[in-house]
Amino acid sequence: MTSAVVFGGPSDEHDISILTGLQVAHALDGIETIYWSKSGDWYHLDSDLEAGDFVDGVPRKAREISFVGAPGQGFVSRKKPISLDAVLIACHGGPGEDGTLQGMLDLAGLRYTGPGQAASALGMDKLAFGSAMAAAGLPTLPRTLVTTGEEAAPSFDGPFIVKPRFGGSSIGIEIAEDWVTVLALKASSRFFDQGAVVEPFIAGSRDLQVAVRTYPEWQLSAVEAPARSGDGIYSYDQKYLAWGGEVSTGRELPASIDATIEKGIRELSRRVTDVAGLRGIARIDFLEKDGELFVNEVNTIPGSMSVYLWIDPPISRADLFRDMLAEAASGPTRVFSTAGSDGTALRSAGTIASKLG
Amino acid sequence: MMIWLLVGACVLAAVPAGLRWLRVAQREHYIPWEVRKFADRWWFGTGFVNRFLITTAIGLVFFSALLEPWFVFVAPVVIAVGPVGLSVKGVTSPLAWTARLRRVAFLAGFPYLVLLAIGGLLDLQWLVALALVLLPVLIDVALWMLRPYENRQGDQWVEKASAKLRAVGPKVVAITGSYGKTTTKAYLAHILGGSMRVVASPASFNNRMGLARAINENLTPGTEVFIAEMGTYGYGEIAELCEWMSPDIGAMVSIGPVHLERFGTTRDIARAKSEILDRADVGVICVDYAELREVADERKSDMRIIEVSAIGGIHVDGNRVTDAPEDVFGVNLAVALGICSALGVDPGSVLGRTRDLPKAEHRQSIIQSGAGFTIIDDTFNSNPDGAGSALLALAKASPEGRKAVVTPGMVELGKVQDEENEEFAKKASMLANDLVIVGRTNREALFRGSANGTASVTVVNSRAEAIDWVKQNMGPGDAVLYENDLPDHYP
Repeated sequence: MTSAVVFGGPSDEHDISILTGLQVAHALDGIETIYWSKSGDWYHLDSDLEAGDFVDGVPRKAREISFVGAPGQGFVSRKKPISLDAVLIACHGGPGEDGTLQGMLDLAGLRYTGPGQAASALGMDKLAFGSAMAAAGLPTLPRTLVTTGEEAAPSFDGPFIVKPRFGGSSIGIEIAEDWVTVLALKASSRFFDQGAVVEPFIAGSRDLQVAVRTYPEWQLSAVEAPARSGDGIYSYDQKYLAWGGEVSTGRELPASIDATIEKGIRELSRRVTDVAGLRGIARIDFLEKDGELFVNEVNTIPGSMSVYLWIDPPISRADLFRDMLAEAASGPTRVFSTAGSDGTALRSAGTIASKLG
Repeated sequence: MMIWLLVGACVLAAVPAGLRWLRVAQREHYIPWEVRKFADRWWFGTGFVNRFLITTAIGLVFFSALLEPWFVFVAPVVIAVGPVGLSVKGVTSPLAWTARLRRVAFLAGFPYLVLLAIGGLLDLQWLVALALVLLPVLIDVALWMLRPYENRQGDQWVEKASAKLRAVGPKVVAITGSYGKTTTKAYLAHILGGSMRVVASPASFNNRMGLARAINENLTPGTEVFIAEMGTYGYGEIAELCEWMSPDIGAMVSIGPVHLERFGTTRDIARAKSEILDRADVGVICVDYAELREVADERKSDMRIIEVSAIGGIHVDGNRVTDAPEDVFGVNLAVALGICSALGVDPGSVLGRTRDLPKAEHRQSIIQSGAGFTIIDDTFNSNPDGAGSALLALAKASPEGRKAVVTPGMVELGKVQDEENEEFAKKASMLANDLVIVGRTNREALFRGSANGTASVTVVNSRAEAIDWVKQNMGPGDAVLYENDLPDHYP
């Protein structure tokens, strides 16, 4: 099987994606390495690169390639398509995770890891995802949208958590005491220019995170309780920057939770997988307070693919990545159909002129 | 027979020698005639051994007719091993075997071999040996000949970058100055980063090819502000950059005697750098420098100029905005806030973000050593102003303890290089207990300056030796200032 890992992309999480992508490239022998630059160009790389090679931009010796969104094409190097059975998408945030890349690969007939275009878009839209969960009857916190900055206060009281409507990670998340502050934050932060979702801040709650995978069969990882910073938010800096990777953030793994909560998480995760259309490895974040669970958000392409959560039974990185690729190669996420467009409508239509007349 | 043996020896000697001088060419940005300067510096400016070796080699070449023929073989040996101290591959800045370097090697190597062949065929010992001694000059000639070609090579990248810039359409902010550009850029990116999509050119990408690369590889669609750092090696360089980048805002941070060897005076530098204003709508200028004050006054009549100052607080357009926070470079913050104002962002509204400005690396960065002494890392600084303020930081770091200054001195200061180094060594040796002079580049000037002070002077040959000295001599409560660092192609 020939496969490729794609990472980078014009996203706030571009750098973190490089780290995930290189993890994959180093774990799997013979995988092609495709880098998507901040400016949106495509490059074919050697797989032995290190993070430091990307510090100044595109690594030396990178070969520029192009992408053609037509069947049988895809990634094209020197006018020849790179033949691939599966693509492992290691992009975080932005167009690599929100369905844009997925849709593009669909058009080229390439098979890829993770959810399809529609589920990817759902996972990235906190408003739509929360609404889908609520509609399916799953426990979630109320969420309201702020786009104009002139919205009236919602039915729930502050303090509030304000999050960018689109985007993964924890970039741009803020806590606001009151509604005036929410509107001020909306106006001042670039992270909210595509809209912000606001939900109640539950004091004394804790985060619980778990990964699911859908191949070879549905499986749940250990549950993790990430440490929170002083102001109560599990921040981007804390998650990635302070320690240089997702591996050593202050956290409790496995989290000490009682059997009821564990059972609740298992059942909810199963439902979330189905409702949200998850595929590959995804991370689901819950809030828990006094034994009550809320589905918070989903990350369809989590940092370093959440490899560190698979401890019981232990599964190696290489195996996790290989399974993702096998799942991807086993079938397309999207099948186009032209049934019904067999020419009947065209034949009976006569000339366009007579239609218009 | 003898002549062909000599030719063979010269071919072999040219391998290490060629690599040495090619590395210098690469480190000096492929600027023609710099290799010759460095060869001169190394052979004649680093003490008796190298001077003796090269004089002997040249002497043998010119008097080869009078001597036993095998005497001439000393020349290839000398050229193969010397100058002593300049390594072939480099430690701090190793040779990178790029396509460009290969072109230079080929274009210098070919005439070299032709000269050897002519010398061999005509049995001219002196010609063969002379070609070898002149290897640095042959490399310079190759650089000079390749220049137009290399510029054209870059055109396609520049065109691509220019098109990308137009397609994405960010506001372009161009920053220049003798120093403080990188820090100003980092401050501005941080301040604006909270409310706008900002992309800044990476630190060392401040020339034509570097900026084109920064745009081609880093300019994300949707970027609202692109910050470009523009360095200058001569007149017209910034004007050329502005031609294809069309900055909306041009900022001038500082003026000092940096790169003075390519200009005449600091006023000439200010004039060359003021090209950054030619196409801009708004100019942001730090008027704490007399030369920049003049530029601001000159330009006021035909464009909007925002004057900033860091004297007695941070001032933008005549209004006092704030005090300079602790550990922040005031001038750089003032310019960053001035640019905010030019972009329509009220400086008063972003003061919150000035509380956690990024620390500039290797610019008066303070580190605690394992042994309990304080290290002030100012190794990226190479200007007299910054060096003076680093001395004050040293005094503050250890008011009671032993204080040491470790420095190879400053370079690229043209005619005032000796003078400035002497002055710095004078101040350093009055304030510190020890002055450690690294390398030979500025040894004499630093030594002269130190005679005015009380510090005891130590002379070492390399940074590694200097670090050993520090480890052996500094203890808890002491402080050491590492002022500037020179890559190892400097003597």
